[in-house]
Amino acid sequence: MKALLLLILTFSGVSSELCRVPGGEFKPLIADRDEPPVRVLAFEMQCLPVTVGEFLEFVKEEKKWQKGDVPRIFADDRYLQSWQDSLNPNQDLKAPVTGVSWYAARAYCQSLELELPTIAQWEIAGMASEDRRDATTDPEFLERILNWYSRPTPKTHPQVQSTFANLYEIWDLHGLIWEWVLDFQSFLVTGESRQDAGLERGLFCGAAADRSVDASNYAAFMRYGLRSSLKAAYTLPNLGFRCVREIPSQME
Amino acid sequence: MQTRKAMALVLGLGMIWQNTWAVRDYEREEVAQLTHAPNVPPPITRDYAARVQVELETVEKVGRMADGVEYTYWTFGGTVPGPMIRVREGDMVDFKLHNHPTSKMPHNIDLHAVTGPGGGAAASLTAPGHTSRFGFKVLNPGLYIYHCATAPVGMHIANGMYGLILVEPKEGLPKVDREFYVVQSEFYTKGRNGEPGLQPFSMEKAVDERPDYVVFNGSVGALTGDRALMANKGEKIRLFMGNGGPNLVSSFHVIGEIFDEVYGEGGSTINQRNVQTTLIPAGGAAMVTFRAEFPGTLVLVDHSITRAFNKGALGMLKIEGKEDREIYSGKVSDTVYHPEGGTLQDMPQVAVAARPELSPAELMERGKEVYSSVCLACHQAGGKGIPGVFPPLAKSDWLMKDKERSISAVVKGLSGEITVNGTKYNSIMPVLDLSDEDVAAVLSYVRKSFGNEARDMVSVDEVRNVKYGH
Repeated sequence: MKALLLLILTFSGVSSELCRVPGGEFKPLIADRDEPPVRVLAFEMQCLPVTVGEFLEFVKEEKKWQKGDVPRIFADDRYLQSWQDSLNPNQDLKAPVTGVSWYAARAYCQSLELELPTIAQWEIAGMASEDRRDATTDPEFLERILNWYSRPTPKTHPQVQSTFANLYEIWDLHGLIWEWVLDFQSFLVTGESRQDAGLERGLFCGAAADRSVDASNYAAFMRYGLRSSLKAAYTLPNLGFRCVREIPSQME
Repeated sequence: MQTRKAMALVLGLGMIWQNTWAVRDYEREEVAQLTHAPNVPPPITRDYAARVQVELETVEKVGRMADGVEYTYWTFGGTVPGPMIRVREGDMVDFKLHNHPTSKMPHNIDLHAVTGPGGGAAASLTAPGHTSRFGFKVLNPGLYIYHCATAPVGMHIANGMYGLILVEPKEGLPKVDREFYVVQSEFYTKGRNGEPGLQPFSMEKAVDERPDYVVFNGSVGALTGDRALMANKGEKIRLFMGNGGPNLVSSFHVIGEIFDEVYGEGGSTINQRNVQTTLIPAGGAAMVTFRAEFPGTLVLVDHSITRAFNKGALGMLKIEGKEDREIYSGKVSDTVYHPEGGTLQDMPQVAVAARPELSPAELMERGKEVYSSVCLACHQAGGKGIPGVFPPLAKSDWLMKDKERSISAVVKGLSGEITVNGTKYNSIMPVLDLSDEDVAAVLSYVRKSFGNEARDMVSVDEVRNVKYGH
């Protein structure tokens, strides 16, 4: 069944197409200076965010994820709020799906035998510009991201594939929507972002910004800030997702 | 099914806990009356502590920074500064922070009036479309800043997320006739001051502390012209003055007034009297009081003065009423000064007339000097003026339309509303103490400069006609 769904989606030429991201080392934004970087194996990531149309196909198959059926503990009452009813999104099917909880996003990915990206995976993909694997030191790139962050959410989202594709042909990582990550809760910007120094786990010590890997990377701070404001059942009008898959050959 | 039962149990316990918290000691409840600047909530008259409900909503929206310049503000309550909150020492505040669903960012609030982790920030991080609720008891009277403290804190504050909360002492503040709410802050835009269009936030300028705008109440001209603060002669006035920062310290001064009393740094006691300029730290406040003894326009400035005249930190307080010549005489005479000694004499008008006429080229040269020394301070380099405050002379329709009227403005002064290039101005041009020749020179210069294209000069005779003829 799941394989069939994947097949249908693949043939319909939509965004379950996967783009390969080479592995690498990822330095979390906030870490102890002597903490070794996280090693990330090569993986594949959906080239486009999941669209309204794709999510519609998913809820047609999985009634329990339909608006109206989903239990409140798995999605708050804004779940798919912009949809007219369970099977009528009443919006552009090529727009990115938003208003989905972490549980729903994860269920979608798992239905395709995929998974949500980890922070490390998402950030490794997200740090690439059109021509550089790591554009986090490129002021023009950071500014472009920051400009999007500082604009309020539009009434309706533009279609996917409307911003830019990075070096790995992955579209819309910045400038369209926020995206769920698998381990969003593991990051330690608390509600009181200046006092993360006090956390017992010691991940964020000393004068807060002083110990971050790059205090000037406001854009990264904002992504981490957003993630730490979330709970798994939350749904936001500008928060969607895409899925990833590890590359099996590396697993051994 | 089991999940549902567990949920019900959790909910039930939660409600019991909430109710316990709700009834303790505070039998009387009220909803705080919030006001948008420059208005101040009414003084608190009750003599007991209450449980006070406060609700604020965070909204991200595009607004006017200056004429032709827009900015995406992040706000509490849709305005910069956010609404003013007024509570009484000992009150229990039940605080709800709503983050509007269209927000891009999570937001929280740190109220400096709170004793507890992060001033409430730790309890109030709120995702878009969600609400956080927390409670605190206000233990210390004083005037406090509140602000958003979500990472990156500098950017949330730089985009406009701050306001004031006043904790009145149990005995209340001394009665005054008028209260106003003003917050200074600065903005870091990608484009330079005055560059038109929607200006994005500049992270680089913020880190370097190089703002292009320093303003009162969120935008250039928020307290000038039609929006000037108004009071009557003889009234006692209290300003609740905050500084949202994010970085600059304010040298707060009111041109034409002396603060009778200053509650320094927003504390609860008067720590100084008869103050010209008071420092207000970033993330701090001050309360100042004075009596408006003389009618006219008082000008609120950050006396780090280029911020006032070049970046926008300028507001007006218009005092209406009858002049009292005992307090301020105005100009009573103009006499010639002989440094070598002798007596003071009245300015001999005839002697001026006897001097040889200047050539047109000399007149223009002299006009340029006069402009630089007399007019430039207000009308600015290139005659571009300060939007909303000092009208432009560059390509000015008002200036060029009526020569006699322009002469009159210089020699007799001007007050009341005028429209220059489609924008209304309502301030005062003082009578300028210039010789007739200098008036002719500077008007000839201005009417042929800054994009103005007068064909004729302004002659000394024309000046005299206006000055003495009518």
